[in-house]
Amino acid sequence: MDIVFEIIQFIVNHFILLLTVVLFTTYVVLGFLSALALRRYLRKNSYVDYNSIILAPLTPAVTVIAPAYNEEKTIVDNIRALLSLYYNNFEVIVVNDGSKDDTFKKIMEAYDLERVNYFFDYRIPCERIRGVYKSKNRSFKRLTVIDKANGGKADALNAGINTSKNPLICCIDVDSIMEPDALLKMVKPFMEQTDRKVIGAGGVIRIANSCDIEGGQIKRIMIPDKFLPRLQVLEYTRAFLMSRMAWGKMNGLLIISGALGMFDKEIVIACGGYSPLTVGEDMELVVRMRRYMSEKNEKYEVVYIPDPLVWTEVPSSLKILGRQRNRWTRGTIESLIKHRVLFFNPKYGILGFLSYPYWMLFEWLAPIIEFIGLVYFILLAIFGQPNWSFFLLLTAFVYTFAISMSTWAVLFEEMTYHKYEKKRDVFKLVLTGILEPIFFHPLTVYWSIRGNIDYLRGVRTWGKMDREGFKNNSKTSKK
Amino acid sequence: MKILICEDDLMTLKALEHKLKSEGYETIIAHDGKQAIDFLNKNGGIDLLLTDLHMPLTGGLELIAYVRSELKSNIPIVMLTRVGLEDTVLHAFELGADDYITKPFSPEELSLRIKRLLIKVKS
Amino acid sequence: MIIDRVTYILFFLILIEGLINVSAQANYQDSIVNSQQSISEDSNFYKSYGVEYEIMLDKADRAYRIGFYKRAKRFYEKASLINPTSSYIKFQLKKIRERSTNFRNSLFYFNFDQPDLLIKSMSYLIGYFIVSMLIILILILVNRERMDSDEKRKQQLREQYQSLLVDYLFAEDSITRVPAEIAKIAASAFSRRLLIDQMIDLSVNLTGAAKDNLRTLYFKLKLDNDSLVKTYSRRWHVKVKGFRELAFMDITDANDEIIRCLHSRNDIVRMEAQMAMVRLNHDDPFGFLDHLEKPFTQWEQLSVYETIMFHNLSFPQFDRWLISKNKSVVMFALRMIEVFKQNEAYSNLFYMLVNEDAEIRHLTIKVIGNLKLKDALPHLKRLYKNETYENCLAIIRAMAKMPDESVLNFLKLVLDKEDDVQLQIEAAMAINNQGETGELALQKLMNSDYKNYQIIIKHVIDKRIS
Repeated sequence: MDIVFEIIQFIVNHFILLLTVVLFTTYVVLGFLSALALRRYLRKNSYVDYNSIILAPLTPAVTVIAPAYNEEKTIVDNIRALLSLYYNNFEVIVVNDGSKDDTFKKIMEAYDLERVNYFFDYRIPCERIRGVYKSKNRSFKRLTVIDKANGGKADALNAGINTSKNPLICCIDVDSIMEPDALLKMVKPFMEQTDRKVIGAGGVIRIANSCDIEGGQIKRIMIPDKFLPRLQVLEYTRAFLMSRMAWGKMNGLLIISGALGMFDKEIVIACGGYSPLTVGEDMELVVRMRRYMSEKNEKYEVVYIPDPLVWTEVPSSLKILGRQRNRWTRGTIESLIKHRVLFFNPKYGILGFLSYPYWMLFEWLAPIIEFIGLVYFILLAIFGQPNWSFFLLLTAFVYTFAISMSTWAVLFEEMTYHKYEKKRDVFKLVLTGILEPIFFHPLTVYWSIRGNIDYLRGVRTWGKMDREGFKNNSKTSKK
Repeated sequence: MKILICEDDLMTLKALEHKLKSEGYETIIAHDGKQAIDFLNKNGGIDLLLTDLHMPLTGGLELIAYVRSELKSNIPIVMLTRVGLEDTVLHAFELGADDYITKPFSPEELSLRIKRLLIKVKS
Repeated sequence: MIIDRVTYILFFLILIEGLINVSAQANYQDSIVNSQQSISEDSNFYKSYGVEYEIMLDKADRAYRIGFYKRAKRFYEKASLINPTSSYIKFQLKKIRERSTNFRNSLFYFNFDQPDLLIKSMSYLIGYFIVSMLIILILILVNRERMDSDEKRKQQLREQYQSLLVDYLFAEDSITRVPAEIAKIAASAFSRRLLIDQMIDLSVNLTGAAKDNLRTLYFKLKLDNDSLVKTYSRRWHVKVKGFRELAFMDITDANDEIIRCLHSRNDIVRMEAQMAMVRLNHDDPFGFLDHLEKPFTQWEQLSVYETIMFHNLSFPQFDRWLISKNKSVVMFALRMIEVFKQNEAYSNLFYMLVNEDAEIRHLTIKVIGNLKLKDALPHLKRLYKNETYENCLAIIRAMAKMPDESVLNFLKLVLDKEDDVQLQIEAAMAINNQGETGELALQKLMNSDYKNYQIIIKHVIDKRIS
């Protein structure tokens, strides 16, 4: 009995030490690489005159695809914002994914739609198309609306891809708010491609909670009032500026967020479009596209743009946030398991050796390991005598590491975009960073464990994600 | 003579403003189409509109369309545009613009064109 | 395959484990040496205690080495019953005791012979994290203060300079002498930088006499020296700024340096050098294309094109580069022939239809369509059979752009024989574009129930789509 306990202890001790070292070094290395890449990007683009250049005739045509499901509150404003994007060569395809409310009626009335005799080519399989609509008003000639039977977000995006006429597609959440110059910035990497084909590009997502929003556009940037969204500000900053930037630099990016991403259409179609079978269709597509290119032995690149391109409202209640995280976890697991062939497979280069293991370790296993560690500690506390002084030291170490990373994140944000103007906001963010490991982190672990359990139980649905709607939001922020 | 200048590039705006002021016009400036529309709604009463075509958010085309179809105003409109964008210029003419000048522009040419348009309107 | 991967994983784990243990290594070595010494001391008695003792010691040592201290302790104790005098066993037991007072039943129990190494380094790191956090916080706040006041001051200065410059340029009697205010500004390095930025900004949108006056002023203030210094800077972002200033002010003094940078490995420097060359190399602005080995990206192409258009520069006959070995340069030449409608080059375009590279052929077909070169129609028809799918689509699209009776039957054939819907739709569209005869032909096909013509043709003749 003694020996069994000792063996377990031996394994756990070594493994946890190893993991801690790997985890922390990775964070530090990624942060460092990100800083270098950010500096280069900012310097490089301070010389770019997007305005003058993008109006030229040589720019590639883009299709913006926005799937909408039960969005009647905001859809009209959001479409207007999409139509007024600053780019000269684009079309907007809105896909009504069988909404149960008046979404379609609202669009129909606001944009004066009529049904056209569209011959729909199901190049990527998707649910039945009820009709394709165009506006009678010529000033909305960029707009196409597809009405289809409900099939989920991935399915709706596929319908949009089938209808797109342009070589580049830009997939967005219809309720997120694009920066007016987002298309310019996203097209640029595609135009800069050399012998490596650029297959996708993604950018920074920022949090719109508490911002003033008017007619589908951000008027004034504010730090979220509520604690939960503010935590997520920090989380997003860390993820986007300190980690994804580095992955983009190493060409190891595995995910382009569903809120906004641009892709090469032909490659998306060649690998079969979005998969309706997963809840993490955004990550799954990128992994599949990368696999496809690697298997064809073509050089390729997935580009990351560290400019804030899109604003989105994040959940401000624990329940909804929990559902979202649960879904993310399941999506990650599904993508990782589906593409398990990548794991340390020399054929896929950096994808198999760095990206996949990283995502597996950090996005999937880390919370589980943390959970096991906790259980182990509790057992130890009950049955043995834990070394309390060492335990305290270790906790202090992890805690200070976490808050120091958060502070670095605030510094990154400060050095790059400087979006939050008030001095008080900096304190608010740092304070949030100090509280985060205590209140928020255990919750994220819990949600992710729940996600794992749900995955094992075979749950494959999206879970309801109620949006509060931007209109409400802007009202509350004016109070 | 009141001229409303709508242009998002500050330096150009300054140059335009200065040139026109030195010619003796009264100038009002707007940094984008939205500001211009707000001004027109509030005050109205200008003699000429000089607008850049390419501005973020509300661009020149929307502004011209608004002036012609919503305000039903027939003040002369001169647009500023970049070279090589014939399609946009044609579209703007369809919407009801009167004349255009390409950037980079020569201030002398600009003031001549404006003078000519204003004389045409008077007669 | 699987074995491969497992080996890789093991390799990684061992590597990392190795790294962690590096610090412990020295101590570990010591302990081995120690134990060997102790053993040799005991060696006189060694054999007399028998095999059982030996095995027990062996087990104890092994357990000790991998960190199973309880087990090691048990075996050492058993061994000491047989040989109570062994100094080695005493030494080991003492070490285990020491360790267990520090680390008994610890949460995390490490195989370091000096446990406080870890504790020390952790404490240092904790200190470092806290201090770095405070420093960053202060940095941010100080930086904010500074940036705010800096920004305000700069903004004021900028506006002041703008007014001065504009006043100077548009004044009736100006140009003969430099106003004292501007000369004063140009005397200090900080404000000179701001002034240069403002002058460049202003020059971007000006032409004619105003631009010339601005350039004269630039020289009179000797700002060209600043630009030259920047151009020879080692830092790329400064260098690039220098290029821009030289290009805008048309200063050719540093052309040698810029030409050298045409082959820079830094993409941004290379691109800016190209753009500067297009404006500054008056003899052969596009000469750099002859020697370009790196891909000439679409972005660079567009920048160069914009520079030509915006500044109304003269440009050469681009068919000179149709035979370039650099694929991207060929593509650029094709695009430029199209946008500038260089009709002397048209006959050379036809040769490009049989180029080895599918993408070049694709672009050629597109260009031919946009330029409406009907002479190419027979070639296109002939090439269709052996082209790639993408290029077949391009051929039909090109035909749609140049209506001609001679292709009508060909298009009908495509509509009839092809299985791919995209090709069918494009063919039907092309037929629809062939004027009255085409539209009639479509009407006729519409009435036949054959295949899926009806929906395709309905789609094609619906003017609201597209």
